Amino acid sequence: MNEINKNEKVIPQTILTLNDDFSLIKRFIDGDESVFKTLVNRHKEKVRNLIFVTLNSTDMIDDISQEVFISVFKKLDRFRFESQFTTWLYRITINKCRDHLRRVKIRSILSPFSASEEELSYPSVSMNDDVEIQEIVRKAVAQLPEKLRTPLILKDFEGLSYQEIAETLGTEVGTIKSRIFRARESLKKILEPYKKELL
Amino acid sequence: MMKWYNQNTKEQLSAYLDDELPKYERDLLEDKLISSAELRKELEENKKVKKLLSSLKRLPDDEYFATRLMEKIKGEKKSENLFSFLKKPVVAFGIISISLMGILKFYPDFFPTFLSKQKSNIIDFYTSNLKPFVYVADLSSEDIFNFAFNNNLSLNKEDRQMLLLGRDSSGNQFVEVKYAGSSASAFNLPVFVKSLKLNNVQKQTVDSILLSYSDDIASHILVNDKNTVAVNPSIWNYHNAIRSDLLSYVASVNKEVSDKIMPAAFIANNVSSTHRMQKPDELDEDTYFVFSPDTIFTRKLHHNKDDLKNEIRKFKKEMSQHTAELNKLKRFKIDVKVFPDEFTSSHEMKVMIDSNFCRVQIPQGIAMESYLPNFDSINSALDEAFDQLRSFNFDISVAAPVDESVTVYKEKKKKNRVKKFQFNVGDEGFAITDPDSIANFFRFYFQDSSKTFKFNDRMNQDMEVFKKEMEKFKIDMEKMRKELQKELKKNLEKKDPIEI
Repeated sequence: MNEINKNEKVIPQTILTLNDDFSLIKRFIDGDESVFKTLVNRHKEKVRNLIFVTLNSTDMIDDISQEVFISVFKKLDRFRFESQFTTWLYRITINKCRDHLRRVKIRSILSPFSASEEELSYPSVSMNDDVEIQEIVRKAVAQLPEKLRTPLILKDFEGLSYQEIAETLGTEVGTIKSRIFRARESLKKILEPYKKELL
Repeated sequence: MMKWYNQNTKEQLSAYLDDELPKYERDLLEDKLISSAELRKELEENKKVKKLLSSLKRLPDDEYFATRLMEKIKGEKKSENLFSFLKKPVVAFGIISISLMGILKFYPDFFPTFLSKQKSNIIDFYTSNLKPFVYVADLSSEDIFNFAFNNNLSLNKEDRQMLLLGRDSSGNQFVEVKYAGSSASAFNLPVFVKSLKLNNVQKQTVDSILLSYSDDIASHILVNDKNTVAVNPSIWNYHNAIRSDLLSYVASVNKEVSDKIMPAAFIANNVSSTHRMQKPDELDEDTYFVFSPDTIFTRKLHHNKDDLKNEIRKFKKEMSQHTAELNKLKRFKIDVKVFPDEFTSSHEMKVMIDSNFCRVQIPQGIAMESYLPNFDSINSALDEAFDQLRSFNFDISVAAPVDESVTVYKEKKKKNRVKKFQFNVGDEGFAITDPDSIANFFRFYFQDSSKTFKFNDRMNQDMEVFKKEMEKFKIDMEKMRKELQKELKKNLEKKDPIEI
């Protein structure tokens, strides 16, 4: 019944990652800035993919990812080792994504023309085309409210536990549990036209 | 109830899928799953949704991301180091000072221009939509009488705010906006009418004289919905003209009273309002003193006087059509919490502020004076005449035979205090024949006294001496009058009077 969850449990690796991150950060704080590149290489793909799924766009991935790591570089000497580095990194990434979405929203208000309608339209699906399915799912996720979308992505795409998600977003575990459930329900409704093919 | 149960179970199902349910709840749910095909279907759907997300393709690895990032960080650090000295307060202060010096060297007018622009904006704001005072209140003959006689005009009756014209101890004219408080002048139009024993026709004439100035006054006081009042200092002309008109009317209807109250200089000039006003040399008729909630300033408001009067007449006719504007303007209320600043320097205005008033002294040399009569020389006489007219107002109770002891009371109200003058006249055999003459006599000798006096022969002798001196004084004044008239003729030839 719980195969998926059992497969996701890779506890020895997590501990190893934690220790590696902490030791790299300690070296950085001690003045060895060269270790920062190692830290970036260990986590850059998590950050880039989280941005990609959250924004459903490849345009700004590089810029926002760089903003995230520059922010980490500037604040790393104040890291308190109270939570995992990834929790902190995800929080920064999500905040940067929110900033970007806010800027886009303001621009769309100021700009009389918007491509949003085009972006929301769905292609007719040939279920053999995996690329199109991926596109549909991404667009459906993008339609979720930000409050529901982020916990769902952190859970199903990044594989974080409810506790980790709650720490990243600064909320209670119960809230996260409820939001993930509501996100799944909403996603099912959005994907209703493709129920036969996808669900 | 059923729906709530389903929702809760569905939420548990979602958490079960994520392996986030406690063992007890998990066991319960698994029991339900065994017995419910619907729940199993729900779980399958959730699994598919989860799989859709977890199987989303990841971006291809960007091998050079870290290299690009480190280059960027390196570049940012360089530029930060370059300007890090700016973070030191002394350096930052120094740079700001040097920048300011540079600005002042190359653009010495930068700050004055900037300030004057800001001032101009404030002035434009407060002087917009100024309307004649009549939009706020229709002036009654009583209001105009108070304006002439008591030097004040009620601006906002509800809040007891008034415009006050006056002279300070040095004789300089000023215009003042103030809260009236609870004091009201005892000498008002009804008292004036009663003192002069005017009949109904004469009273109506006094009213018509007063009301003939209504539009003139209204066109010299402008107000707007921004709690601003603009006063044209030439309103002093009308103040003086009304006074002279009233006094000349007193002279025409009651010569006896007039002779008693008019000072010699006043009689010598044969004062009457000719409505010929002298145009001031420096402050022209377009210049208004503007009292706003933030500041006081002078401003040229290019209102054509005739246009304003026409507007007032039209407004009075069509008052019902101006309801909205009136309602807006009727909320007009002067805020005297003002402060003087550079706005006032253009005409060297002297401004005095207190908690309940705000006074602007009209600059020397540009004070408003009428041409004929020359109020500058006669103003003190006008003040004296009005003061005597005020003193003329009292009642004498005489109710005793000539031979008996009689007590005469004179009551004079001043600032809500009543002064009583008591005279015991019976013992000396003093006969009261003409209350007016006694009143005049009392006033002359004992105007500010509160003592008790007894009349005797010595007093009568003094009275005779005084009468002779007065005769002599009249002759001197007649000579002076002729000299003054010669002077006036010369002035007439020099200056070009304006007809209004």
